[in-house]
Amino acid sequence: MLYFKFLKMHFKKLLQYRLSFFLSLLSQTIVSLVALASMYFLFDRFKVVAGWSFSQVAISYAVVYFCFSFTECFGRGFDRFAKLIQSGGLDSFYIRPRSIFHQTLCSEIEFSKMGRVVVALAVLIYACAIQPFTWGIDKVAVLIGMLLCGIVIFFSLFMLGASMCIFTIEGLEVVNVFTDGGRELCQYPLNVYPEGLAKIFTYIIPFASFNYLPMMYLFDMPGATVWGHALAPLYGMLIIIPAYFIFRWSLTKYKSTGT
Amino acid sequence: MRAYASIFKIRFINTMQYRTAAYAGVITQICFGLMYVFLYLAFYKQGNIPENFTATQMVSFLWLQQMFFVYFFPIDQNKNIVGQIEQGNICYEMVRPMKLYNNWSVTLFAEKVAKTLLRFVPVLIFAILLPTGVGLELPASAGAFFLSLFNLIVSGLLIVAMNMVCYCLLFKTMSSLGIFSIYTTIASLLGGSLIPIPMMPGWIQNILNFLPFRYTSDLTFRTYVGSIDIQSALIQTAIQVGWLMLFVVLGKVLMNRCLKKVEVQGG
Amino acid sequence: MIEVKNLSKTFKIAQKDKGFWGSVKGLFKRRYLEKRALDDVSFNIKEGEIVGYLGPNGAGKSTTIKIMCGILTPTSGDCVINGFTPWKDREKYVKDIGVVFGQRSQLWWDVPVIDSFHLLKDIYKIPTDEFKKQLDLLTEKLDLQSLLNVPLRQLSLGQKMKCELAGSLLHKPKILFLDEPTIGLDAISKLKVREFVKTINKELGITVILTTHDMNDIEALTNRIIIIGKGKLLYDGSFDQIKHKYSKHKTIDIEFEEDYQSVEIEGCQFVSKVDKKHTFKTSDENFKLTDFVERVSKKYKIYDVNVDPINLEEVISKLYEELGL
Repeated sequence: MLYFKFLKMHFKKLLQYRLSFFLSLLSQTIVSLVALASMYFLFDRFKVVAGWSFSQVAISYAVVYFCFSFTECFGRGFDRFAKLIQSGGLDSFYIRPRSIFHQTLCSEIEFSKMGRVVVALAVLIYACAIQPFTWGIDKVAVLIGMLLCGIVIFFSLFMLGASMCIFTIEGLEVVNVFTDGGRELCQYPLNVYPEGLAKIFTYIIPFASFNYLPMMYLFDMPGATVWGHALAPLYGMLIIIPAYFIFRWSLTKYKSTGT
Repeated sequence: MRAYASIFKIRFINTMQYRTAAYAGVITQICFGLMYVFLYLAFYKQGNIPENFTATQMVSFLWLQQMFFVYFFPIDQNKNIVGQIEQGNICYEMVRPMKLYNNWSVTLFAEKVAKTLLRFVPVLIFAILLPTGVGLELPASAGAFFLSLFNLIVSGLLIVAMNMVCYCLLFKTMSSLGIFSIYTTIASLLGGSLIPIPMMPGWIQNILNFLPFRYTSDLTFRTYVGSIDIQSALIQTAIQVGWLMLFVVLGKVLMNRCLKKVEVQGG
Repeated sequence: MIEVKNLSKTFKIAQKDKGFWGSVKGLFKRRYLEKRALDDVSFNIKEGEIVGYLGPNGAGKSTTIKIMCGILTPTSGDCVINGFTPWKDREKYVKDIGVVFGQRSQLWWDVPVIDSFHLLKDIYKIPTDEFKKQLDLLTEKLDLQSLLNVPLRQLSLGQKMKCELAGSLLHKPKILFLDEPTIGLDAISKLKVREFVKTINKELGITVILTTHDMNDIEALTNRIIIIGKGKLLYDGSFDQIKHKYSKHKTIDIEFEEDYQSVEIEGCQFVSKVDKKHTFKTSDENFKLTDFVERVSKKYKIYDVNVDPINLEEVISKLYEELGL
């Protein structure tokens, strides 16, 4: 309930700066279209990569962009936690009778990221429509699972980054290696990369659980199973449990800054 | 001239303070470098490899790109300068006894060089130590090396000159929001920073030859790896210098106009 | 109401080594410097009191306030406020406190003030009718009517502070923490803020804990002060007593009819001279103006005499000096 009140407030704030909002929206849209275009150029020359066609990789691209941008839009408070600490905003969360998690979630919503979300959704729908196979209920469910899992994973990474900020006060660019890096990496199914790298991003940071593994099931690749591949998004989502508790724990270690 | 030297010095020293950001940058560049190398090698396995861009050349190209990532970043969003334009504090700059155009250019170039020096050595060492096939190789020839070194310097100046034109346009719109990131994206695509130009369709490559963007990183790196032979590289270097002169003149003309406007408005 | 017992807080500050290898070393092994921000601080505050919490910058004022608000967890010691331990029962506890940080805002910068208030209503789960009543009351007392529909960024500093005060009282807290509430305000706004704080303390019975560097705030609001320095409690008692202690210090300006090169008066210390006007300082407890004038006029021709008692800022800086801060 409270979240929607905040949503309304953020919207009111946005209306105060309409022009800059539309410019950011435009730039976000262009950024995602250009990324798609460069992918198209590559497939125009090479046709296939590691067994995946353009229309298949387009799904991977759309899923990861959708999840990342969606999380950037609604989980912005965690993404910019360092700012929150530096401005003293976090102090004011502590004096309110609501959980810090809840208040951080409410504190920032970056609507301009919706430009990318919309582009990603459009690409997703188009890429799904041109797939040669017919969509069963199982495949739709897997696709929805992929989207949810991606959002949960990126959100967990933002939360872990925020937890680190409590100790360092400064923002950590290293966190971007995982978030931005993850976004770039996951545009392609993980079997494009060497096995070691793919393993890290399957078992340590479970990026594979929302694109590579379920996509094998989606496209009936040889060796794809229900338990190991179709349900992978469910396993991947588990990362939020440790992430949430680490965040909770780090909050008790908070050292307020300034006077 | 001494004034500009000291501006360069102070900007340089100031930027060297941000070491932590640089360490993070090094890690980012190495991770992204590895990722792109493996990704493009996977594409190369399919065949249909561009003739003038072999796998080894491509890998070296990608590492150079990561080494000089900040140097070739299409536009440096200097908070100081943007602030001066947006908030109209420019009158303070105008009372100083030096040309605003030169002052800003020197600032931008000094910061670019300082940021690069902080980052490129660790990435270079990492890329050289990697095994053949995935690491950075030596330049195609001594000539290619020295020519690419020249290209590197001119490229930095060219990017700064192009940035100055952008900053002048910022005078007109007065709001930097969105514009910088749109420019960055488009310039990256057209300059071959998103995907290397030799991998693009032929008709696009032809168009890009007539635009200034590829006469920065693309020319420099491909001269180094030998993807462009020395003779054509020399011709293209001449084109690069031509673009530089064009943008400097354009920037100066625009700047003078803008400053006149500021005076009329009373700053 | 508020019981603070042996509160201590130690911060660990990571020492950074210089240079590249220093930072690399820092990744593996860090040296820490311990800084005691609070050292065994105890005091009690009764319901309905106004207490001035004083100390120079960096003394540990903010740390205490932040612990009492539930933002920080102390290293050791205990603090029971209103039956709760702030850092343990944070969410329940903060319903009954209001906090104003003078240097930062808790309202939204870009939207009308009233919208921020409605959001606070939802955050604190204030029932609609109670919210209306309280808002009306605060609007009247603070004269907010014309400010409510204006975005915060368009308000002056004094107006902003009035809105912050209202925002911190919407949920009818029992305790109000004011961290430098008059900082940067003009004289009239300062008076208004003081008056308002007095009113809510009297009429609503709200306990107020106030940190400030402006001694006039203290003079106007309370007699009870707590002074803290270098993390230690130095004084807890009446302000008048301290003022009295230092009231013997006086500044005397004498304007003479002739331009004397040097004037010596027993029991007074020469400070400065501008033309015919000489300034002296005295710490004589039995100082009487009539005697003084009589004594001086025997030797010199006096045109005018003016005696200033030590002002409040000087009292406190003298006190800090004496306490070794």
